[in-house]
Amino acid sequence: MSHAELAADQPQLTVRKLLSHLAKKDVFNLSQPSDGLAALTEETDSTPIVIQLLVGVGAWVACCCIVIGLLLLGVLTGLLRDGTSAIFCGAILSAAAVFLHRARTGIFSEQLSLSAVMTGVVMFTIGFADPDLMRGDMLGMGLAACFATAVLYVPFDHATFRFMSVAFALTILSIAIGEDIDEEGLHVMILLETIGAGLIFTRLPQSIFRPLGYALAAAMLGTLLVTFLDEMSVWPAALVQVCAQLWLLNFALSTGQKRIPFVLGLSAAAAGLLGLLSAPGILAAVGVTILGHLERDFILRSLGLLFLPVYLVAFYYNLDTSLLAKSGILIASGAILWGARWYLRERVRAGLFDGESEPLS
Amino acid sequence: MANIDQPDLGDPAGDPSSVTAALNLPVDRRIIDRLFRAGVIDDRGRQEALRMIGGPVVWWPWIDKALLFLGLTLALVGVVCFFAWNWEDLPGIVKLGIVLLGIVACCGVALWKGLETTISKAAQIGASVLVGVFLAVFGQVYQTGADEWLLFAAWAGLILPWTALARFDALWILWLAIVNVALWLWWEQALSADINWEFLAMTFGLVNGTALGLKELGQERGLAWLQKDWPRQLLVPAVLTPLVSPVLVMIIDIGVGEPVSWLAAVVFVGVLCVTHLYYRHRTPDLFALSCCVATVCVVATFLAGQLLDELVNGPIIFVLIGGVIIAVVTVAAKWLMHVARQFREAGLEEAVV
Repeated sequence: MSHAELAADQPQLTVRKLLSHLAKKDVFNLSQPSDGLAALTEETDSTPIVIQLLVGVGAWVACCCIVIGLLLLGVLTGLLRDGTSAIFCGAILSAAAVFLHRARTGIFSEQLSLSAVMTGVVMFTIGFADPDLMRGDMLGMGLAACFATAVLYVPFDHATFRFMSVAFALTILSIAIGEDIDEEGLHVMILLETIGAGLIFTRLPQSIFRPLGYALAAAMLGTLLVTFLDEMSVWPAALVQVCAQLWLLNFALSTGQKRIPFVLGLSAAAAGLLGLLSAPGILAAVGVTILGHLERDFILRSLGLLFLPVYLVAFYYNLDTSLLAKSGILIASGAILWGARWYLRERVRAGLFDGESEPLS
Repeated sequence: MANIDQPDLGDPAGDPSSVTAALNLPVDRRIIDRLFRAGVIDDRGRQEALRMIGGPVVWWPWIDKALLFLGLTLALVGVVCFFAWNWEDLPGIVKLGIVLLGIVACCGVALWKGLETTISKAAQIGASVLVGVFLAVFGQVYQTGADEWLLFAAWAGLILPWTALARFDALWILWLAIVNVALWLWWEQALSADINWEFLAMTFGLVNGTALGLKELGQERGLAWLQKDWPRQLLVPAVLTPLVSPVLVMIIDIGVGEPVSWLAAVVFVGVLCVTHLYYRHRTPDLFALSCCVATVCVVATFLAGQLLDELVNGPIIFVLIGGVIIAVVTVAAKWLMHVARQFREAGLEEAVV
């Protein structure tokens, strides 16, 4: 019986039946510990993404107001005389926020602890702007933000905080590296962010790593944009992204997607071509979108689709050619994509994609 | 095939009640992803589970549309760049002829392939954009000196007939965007001296609100091309954002509030109530309700900030405003969670984004 028939026969396919079926297919071990199952019911009541967004934006705006207020108050009253005071204030706020969060007393305390922990991280980071501590430069602040994020990541188990704190730390670190170390450092960051995001989405399925993965993917796309707009040499990033595409191809093939090698092969070839054309950002955005589609991950796919037009505009805007030449390149690029579409349709008609659910229109 | 009618899976370790509840959950894609993320199943298990509920990852329709519309975008931007170059050696009539040829070709493809096909839809968008290019080139060649708003108004007017016939939601959104730009430019270039900007904001809200109302009406009547939710997710913010801005300005400049500001406030409250009632009871949608709640949060924060400004001096006001934001967002999140739970209990999972 086919899978479709199986699904049709079982309109009420439950987790129990699914696991039982997987066990008989030797892809699930009945004797393995299933602590994750208990969390499944909790996750079923998980906060909708639109509420998470509202909560995150609210907490961030509140954090900005509170940080400004605390800094002004501290300066006026003399309580924040130096960086150490700000670091101490940040640490106290963060510790109190973790305590409040773990007490789980209600939605108000959740929101309060979220704003407080973010304020704590920012205050802690700002404290390192004091020249008497470290060198008082952005790199010190970036490392401090990374330290605070790493320390709080596990105890403050809130996806919005995890995403925002990692994104904040990586942003500060990128600015610091851009200022202090220059483009080589940024290329190393892009490499690490690409590897990190790739590893998380392909090898680490646990939900604790998910916000880190989103933040790394967003930071990779952001850092690439900075290197591109600052007209740095793009070949290291292009090389990294071509390798990432090949890795993605390997991952896709390893997940049993037997019908897609040609498509992904073509994508890899196109990716290589784009890499040669010095557009690693376009490459990265396409890669993130494909990974999101492969993983059925709405956020990842949206992130890729959001950055793709940004990179396209940036790429063509920055081309050091006349409008006439740009127009020719753009029209030719469009024609190439249409040609690729026509060729693929022919392959589809030839039966390469047997089983794809939607007919040709 | 495995006999899944008689499952032999015992209740694994863990809290017995929650594990039993988990085992009885109906399986969908989200549940499979949660099982995977929780480490209950590995990647092979996930792929097998996904095949059970709906087949493998479907690539072709996605790639087909991506290549078509990305190619269209690049080609259209290329055409715009070409005419922005303003090639002097090319006679004006030839320039116009090229664009006209493009419009005719797009219309021909749209009619030849049938209005419902993907390629026809791409051609409809192409033709609509090229009409704008035609008007711009016309102004360039004949130096008409007309205001820009006239160009956009003419553009919207000229593509209205086929937009109405096409039964294509994205084309309506494009048309509405052109109308919004035309309205903005009209006010800026011709009306700003005589008419308050609050009227412009209300006009934006009402035009976009009318489009939203028609979309919902069409969806209720069962029009197939209006069944997608994404236009709503664009239109609800496009209605509420312009309507809330005069209210915020009125709060900041409360002393100089003119009757038109009060009118804008009344319109905002009215639209907010209608939107809330509609998406709470008639067509449940948590995203639309979240937009309503977000605008209320902004208004409440501005009101509290203004009040605090009257009562408190010094930097403590920033900390207090931060506290107000936390309180307001807490109430908002609590209410939205309550609504989301109600939707889920009523079996309206698709209404919860």
